[in-house]
Amino acid sequence: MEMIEQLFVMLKQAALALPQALLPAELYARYEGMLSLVIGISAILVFAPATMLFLTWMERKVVARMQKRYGPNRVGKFGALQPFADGIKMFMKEDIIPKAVDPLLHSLAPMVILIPAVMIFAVMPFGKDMILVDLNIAILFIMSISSIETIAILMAGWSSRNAYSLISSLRAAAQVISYEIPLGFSMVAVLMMAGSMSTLDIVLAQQGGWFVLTPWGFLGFLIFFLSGAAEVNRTPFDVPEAESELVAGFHTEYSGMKFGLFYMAEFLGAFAIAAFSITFFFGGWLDPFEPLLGFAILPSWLWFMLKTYVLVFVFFWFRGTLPRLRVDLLLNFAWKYLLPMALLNIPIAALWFYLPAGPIRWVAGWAIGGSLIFGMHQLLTYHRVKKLYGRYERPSRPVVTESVPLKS
Amino acid sequence: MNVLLEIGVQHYLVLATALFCIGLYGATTSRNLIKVLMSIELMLNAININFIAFSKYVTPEALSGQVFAIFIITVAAAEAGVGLAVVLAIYKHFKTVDISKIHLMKW
Amino acid sequence: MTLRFADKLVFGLLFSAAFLLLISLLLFNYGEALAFYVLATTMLLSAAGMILVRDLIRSAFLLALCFLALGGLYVVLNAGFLAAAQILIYAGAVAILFVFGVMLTGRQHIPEHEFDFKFLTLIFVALGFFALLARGLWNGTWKLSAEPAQADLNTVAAIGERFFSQYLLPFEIASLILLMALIGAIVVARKEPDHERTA
Repeated sequence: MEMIEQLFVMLKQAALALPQALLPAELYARYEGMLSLVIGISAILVFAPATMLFLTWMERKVVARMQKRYGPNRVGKFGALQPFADGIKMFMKEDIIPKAVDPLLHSLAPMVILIPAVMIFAVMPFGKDMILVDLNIAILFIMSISSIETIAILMAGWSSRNAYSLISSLRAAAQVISYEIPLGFSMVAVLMMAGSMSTLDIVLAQQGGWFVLTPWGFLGFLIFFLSGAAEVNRTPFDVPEAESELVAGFHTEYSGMKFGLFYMAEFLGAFAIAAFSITFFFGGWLDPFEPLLGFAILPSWLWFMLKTYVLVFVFFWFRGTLPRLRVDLLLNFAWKYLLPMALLNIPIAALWFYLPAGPIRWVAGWAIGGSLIFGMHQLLTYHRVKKLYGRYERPSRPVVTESVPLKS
Repeated sequence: MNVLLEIGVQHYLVLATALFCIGLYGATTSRNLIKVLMSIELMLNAININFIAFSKYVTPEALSGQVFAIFIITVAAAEAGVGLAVVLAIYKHFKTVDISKIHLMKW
Repeated sequence: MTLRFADKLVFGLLFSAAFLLLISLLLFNYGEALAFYVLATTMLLSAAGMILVRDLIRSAFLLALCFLALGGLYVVLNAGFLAAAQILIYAGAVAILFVFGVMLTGRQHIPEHEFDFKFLTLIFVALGFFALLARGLWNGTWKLSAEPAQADLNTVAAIGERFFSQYLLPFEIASLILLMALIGAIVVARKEPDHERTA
């Protein structure tokens, strides 16, 4: 068990053994940190495309099942080799650059969008002792890195010289900037309770119980997950790349591998949002049964992957179920619903912090916090529902009258 | 060579001056209002470099330089927002953002 | 945009020379100097490009690049919190605001200043200002702290403490300024309702 648990750490040690044997001891000591970073970065650079390949296959399979189709089933068993076939197709395709585009910005945009998508993996705790860098500003790092993607989207949309692309990139920028605010606020409660911005400390702070079980954690998770879905343009928040209205939005004019890079950034973003929801609210790589049983059932990295893929599945579930939101409703949802809720979440977390630990905290915290959340929800939705219905003819209720006897 | 390879506070100060002068040049020579605003942002950022360099090399424990830099970032962000709103209002009225065409003080 | 073979060769040689230089600097333990020079060059070049490039949208993106490089410099200066804030606020919000501004005002062609006496004076003012200040700053003596800053200092907690004790009043005023800017920007930039336009 211990060996499986430490599998990847041991692999890294094995990779480090070669330079240790070759270099003089003094030189090795100086560059050990740098070498281990290089190994970690290479691991992530292998992991990220592999994840993307798997996710494309999984999405097609899952959505197909929901729509009573088979999904890819021609290449390999269960179509498992389909992503490789797609990858080869993308590499072989001609890279068409339309005449009207701004060539520099047009070819720069896919690279710019991929860099932050991969960089975010640097602070992701995949398992025990499996984090590339334990930054003490990890939360801020996540937010600032993900905000760079907007620049790339604007770049792609503008340089394409295509009205659809431009509209899409403007929508994307408005959406990402709006949803960044509730996203940030939902993490404030987490860092207040963990007392640190480091993702590792946040995971370790959940040893006493996952954050999602507390009222502020529950609300925070919902806000984080929804705004995260909007940040990475997943359905139902995918107005920027709405196929039915904008063709494909900002990546309409891309073909070949450049389109592949956009595709990859999108899937990596979805994976990252799921993984960070797990890290912040579902105990990261912690084994939920370990405190009860006294021993670990599965290695920590497997727990992390299991939990993350459950949330990734929820993303695909959304895609298979929910219709797309209208643009104005989308922005209203961010500013008039998620933002007040996220602000409310902070006092609830403060209340939780000052309640004495023990059963009282759970009962009183959930009673007060839950009623506050419910009240706020009612307050915010009452207004909207009223406004929404005010515009249309309300379906009149069947009026119950006394039965009139038919004339004979 | 050693002076160049061991980075001290002077390197950052000279760098900040260079950035400030680029911003100054841009702010005085550009005819587009938006470019002028961008140049002003450059100048504010140049000042931030100074504060943070002093924070590292002169008062590493007090951190007052970093705190000041955060205030500057706040004010600069507010400035950018309001400045662009004013530019848009001007554009709506004059239908241009060329500085040399905008010479009426009232409208 | 297609490059000839000779151009590619020259570019390749230049890149490999630069790469070798960087690696050798890194191996001789001048990591800080290396990071400083790479980031400073990127920053100055993109700032200069921002001023000189004709295409406004490109200059807005160059501004974003300049802000990113500045964020990197803050990391070198042990100010991780500020680096993240810089990228989040400047590259993620202010630069995008400028891109929006450029898109909304249309890219009308505004002729540059002609190369006349006034223009020359401005160049000389900028250059002279730089020479004067740089000389003074380079030769100046600074009261440097005896102990170097710790790299692993938890600046987030320390800055937070400063904000809520020593700098509480400025902190609150800053939040007021942001609120005022928010309301002011909306009021100035919004579409006037029809009944107000008659006045």
